Amino acid sequence: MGSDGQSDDAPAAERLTVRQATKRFGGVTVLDGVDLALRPGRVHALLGENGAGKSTLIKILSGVLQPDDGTVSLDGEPVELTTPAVALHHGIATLYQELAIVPGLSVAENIFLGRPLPTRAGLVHFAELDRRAAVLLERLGQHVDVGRDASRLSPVEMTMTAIARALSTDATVLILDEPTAALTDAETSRLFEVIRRLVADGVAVLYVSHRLEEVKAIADDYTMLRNGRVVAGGLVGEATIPELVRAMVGRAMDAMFPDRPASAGAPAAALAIRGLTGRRAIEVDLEVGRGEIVGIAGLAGSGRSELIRMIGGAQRPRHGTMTVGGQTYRPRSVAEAQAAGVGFVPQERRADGLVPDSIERNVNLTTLSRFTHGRVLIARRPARRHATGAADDIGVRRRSIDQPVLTLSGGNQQKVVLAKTLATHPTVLLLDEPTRGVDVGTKREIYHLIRRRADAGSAVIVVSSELPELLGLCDRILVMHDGRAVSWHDPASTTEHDLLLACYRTAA
Amino acid sequence: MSTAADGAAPGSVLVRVGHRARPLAGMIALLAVFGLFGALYPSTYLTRTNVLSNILGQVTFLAIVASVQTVVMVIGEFDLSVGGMAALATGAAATIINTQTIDGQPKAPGSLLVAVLLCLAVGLACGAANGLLVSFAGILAFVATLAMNEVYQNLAAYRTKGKPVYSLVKNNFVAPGQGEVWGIPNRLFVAAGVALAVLVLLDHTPLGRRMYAVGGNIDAARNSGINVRRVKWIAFVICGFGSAIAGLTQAAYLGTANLTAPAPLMLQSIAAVFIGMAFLRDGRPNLPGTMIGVVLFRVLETGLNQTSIDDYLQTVITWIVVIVIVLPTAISRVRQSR
Repeated sequence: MGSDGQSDDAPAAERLTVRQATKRFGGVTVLDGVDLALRPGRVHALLGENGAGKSTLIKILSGVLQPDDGTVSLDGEPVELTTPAVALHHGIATLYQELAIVPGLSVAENIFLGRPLPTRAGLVHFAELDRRAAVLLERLGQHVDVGRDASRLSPVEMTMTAIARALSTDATVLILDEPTAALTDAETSRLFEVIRRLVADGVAVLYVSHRLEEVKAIADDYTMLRNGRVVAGGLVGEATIPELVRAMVGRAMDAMFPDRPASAGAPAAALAIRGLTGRRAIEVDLEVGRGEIVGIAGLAGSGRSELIRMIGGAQRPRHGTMTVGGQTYRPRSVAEAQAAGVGFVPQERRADGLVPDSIERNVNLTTLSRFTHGRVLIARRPARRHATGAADDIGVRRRSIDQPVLTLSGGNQQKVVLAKTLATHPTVLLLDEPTRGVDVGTKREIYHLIRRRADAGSAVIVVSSELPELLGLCDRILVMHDGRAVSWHDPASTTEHDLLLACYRTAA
Repeated sequence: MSTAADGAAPGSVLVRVGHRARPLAGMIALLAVFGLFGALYPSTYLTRTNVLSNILGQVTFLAIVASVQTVVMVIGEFDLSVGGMAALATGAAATIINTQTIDGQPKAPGSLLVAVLLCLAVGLACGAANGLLVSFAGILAFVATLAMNEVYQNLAAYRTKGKPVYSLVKNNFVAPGQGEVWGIPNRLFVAAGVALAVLVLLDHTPLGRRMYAVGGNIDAARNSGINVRRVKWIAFVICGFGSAIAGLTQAAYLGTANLTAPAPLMLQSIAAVFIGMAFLRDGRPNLPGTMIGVVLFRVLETGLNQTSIDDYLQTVITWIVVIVIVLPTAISRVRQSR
């Protein structure tokens, strides 16, 4: 379990202590008397569903928000973290889910962003800058070309760059918010190596993740939040995953994944593609039947996302043919794909799925022409009824249908995006990472929802980097490697290990 | 429209009350400024003539342009060529219905109907050209509309040899342009009609919703099956059409097509939309706000005119007030993104 650098006998003195932190937004208490203690040389997991108060606590520790009540102490001394700069000055560095990497600047420039650059004769001394950046990355055991444009980095290299930036400020407390959300399993192991190095150097790490397997692998201690309160905590080694899940959702979970329907022979093909080729995907053939859920696994960059973007009309293929329901299908836009009965749920809900407006207006974006008086004016009441019905069906937890979507939790935002796509009644449903950054309870709801759509006759494709998700949900799994469809797997007779090997295309 | 009570309103009771009052802030500011000048100069400022002709009558052209500028700003762009489009559209029409040639020789005016249709067609064509450049060719609106403004403005000047087109036909054009019904200037009805049309478009039609979606998050709009390019293009076309109406109304009122008259409308219309955005909590362009911005602008201008303050300083004050109005929204945004 966790780092081996720390002897288990006498825990080191607390580096960072939170006592009775309370935060209210308007009338809502989002943090209610929360205690937390981080020790040098240990990884502390902060757990909880979306909306449990994790983000608020992180924002307090990184100086973005101030608590209404309670104290934060460093080495026993109370501190006022009034701005992010003050928090950094005290050695608390935070890596958010959305990494602040500036495209167009080099890796080295990104590492020293906002800090004085070495100069010679008043000009930036780039050689020295690169050297210092390389030293920092060396400490992480990483060999990255520091002169490269940071926008060309892989997700894990971006994470490494952000960690190196934290190190450049001599951080002693490192907060990682969902650091593995965009990483493949191999990249995650690489990140864990780095975390273990930092911990061995005496850094205190606060690790936020929805992935309990990872928490088991990397964390020493945990604190579980629910509805703004601490509901459990202790040594990770003494808690099992089912116990953690129960503490997280506050009840025992029934089956995470829905049952698969009894197989009734080969279903009629709803979607067939032949030789589909894009920038990464090469000559992919694929058939998905009505009522079938096909999973696509593969490393980041294997072409899996591009494949469904091409099917969904979000990107044009270079060549290849597609048919939907036997008809030739050549979408030039998402609008044309929708018209042909293909619904596409993009990967990044905030960037690609939501407009900054109310739930109603988001859900109704795909059905604007359906509820009108004479195709000119919006028929308000039917449109509103439709949005309310769709949000109820999918279980969007909300105060009102007029609530701005950006004030919803991640899981509920994802449900809004799903509701919007499902409103077009797609016969082919394409989902790119449908549960990324979503809490366990909502994940389960989304899995059951997907299966219900399949049972209703839709053909479904799910792209995911979470292999247990593909194994639990899908009827068949396609593995992509380097742009090519390399192998098919039956979830009933495949282990996560097999699937991972297939992703790397290594012989077992 | 979502109400202020919906969002997670952080902070004190005072802040919450502030949020709730935000939609009313525009009206309050407007009444306050109006009340101030009214109290200072009751005999000249609070007259029917001043309010109807001097304040409202003079904002009609700005109101029309600002209405259609709102449409373009809803989709997240702006149009710097409204003045040029108005000039070219009116210039084209005026050379048909003038009663003397540009060199001052008397001439028989052509068909008014043809002139009006030509004017609107030119406006549509200019807007369509802008829209093509921005949404299909992908040129930044700043560059595209700035350049096209010069093109339109100078094409108009070429057509009229750089001179105003005087003595436009009186019957059915200048007469109604200067006329009034029940004491209300006719041109005010035109402005109200355009504003109402834009209000219905933005708030009550699928196209309006699509426009807000495109301006809010263009990728999400595209992924929701909205034809983003077409929606953007239509916004520019509407802007060209409205600019032509503004120019035509102005020419009818003045009896002259003065091709430089619409030029100041460009900056003022953008400022009016920004003022209106300050009155909504989520800071989106919106027509009621724009209209308040337009009237506020003019109330201030006419009010300052009554004072003995130097002309140049009056302009300084007007634009500083614009900054003061948009400041609270800007500050709260800065604080949120800190």
